[in-house]
Amino acid sequence: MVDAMVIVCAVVAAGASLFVVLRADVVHGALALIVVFLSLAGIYAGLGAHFIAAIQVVVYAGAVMVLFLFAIMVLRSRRETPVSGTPMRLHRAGAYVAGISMFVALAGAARWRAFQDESIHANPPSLSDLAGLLFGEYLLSFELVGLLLFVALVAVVILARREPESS
Amino acid sequence: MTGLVVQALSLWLFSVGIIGVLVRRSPLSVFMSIELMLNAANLLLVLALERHGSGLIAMNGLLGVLFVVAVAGAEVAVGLAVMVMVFQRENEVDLDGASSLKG
Repeated sequence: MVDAMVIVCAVVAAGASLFVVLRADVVHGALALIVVFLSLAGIYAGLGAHFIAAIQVVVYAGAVMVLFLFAIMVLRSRRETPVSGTPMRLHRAGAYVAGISMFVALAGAARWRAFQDESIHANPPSLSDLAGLLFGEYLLSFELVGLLLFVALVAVVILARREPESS
Repeated sequence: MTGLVVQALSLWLFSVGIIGVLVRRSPLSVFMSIELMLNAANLLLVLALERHGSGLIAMNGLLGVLFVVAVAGAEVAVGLAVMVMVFQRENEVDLDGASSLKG
């Protein structure tokens, strides 16, 4: 049952990722990206990482995608200006060749046997164990990540505001 | 079986992300492709922890995934702000137009 869910989510994510890359309309790409994130959350849940699944939904499918849609709205650029001609076609073909050869190289180098066997632990780590580790041993890292997010917030405000006096 | 499918999906997402970064000229689409690649890495990490990590190792790894997600969120916010700034300055959204920094 869980295996079937993971496989269905994987197929959906693989298809939606193609949409993200190949659709000309950026908004359609963003919506397909939400589908990818949600199916990845389903895979995480199927793999027993329930906390990461929740984080994936809240942070990626929620916060990051809202940021993306806001940026699309501000930039008013749903479509990229079409460019044609031989250099562009060559560039495009080269990009596809690069991506496909990347996939082939990764598939050749991967140790496919490594993940064939079943999970070695029946019960995944519980949420309270994770919280104990996060707020115990990793408290400093946790605070530093908070500081990083705060600094990023300030930087975004400074970068994106319009200068009232200039121009 | 699931392990193979999830591993293949991770490699697939990474390769599709690379194609997207190279093919698209809208910076938003390039950013989305980068997100795809980040998620591919996270997916493989979670799979490896589920199959080979026991107890404390799995917990440490899951917290690593959490930190990766947090840093990726900060990266998206700053990147999109830079994009908006470039747009306000140049009135040009395509990546081809943002070449005035080159020496």
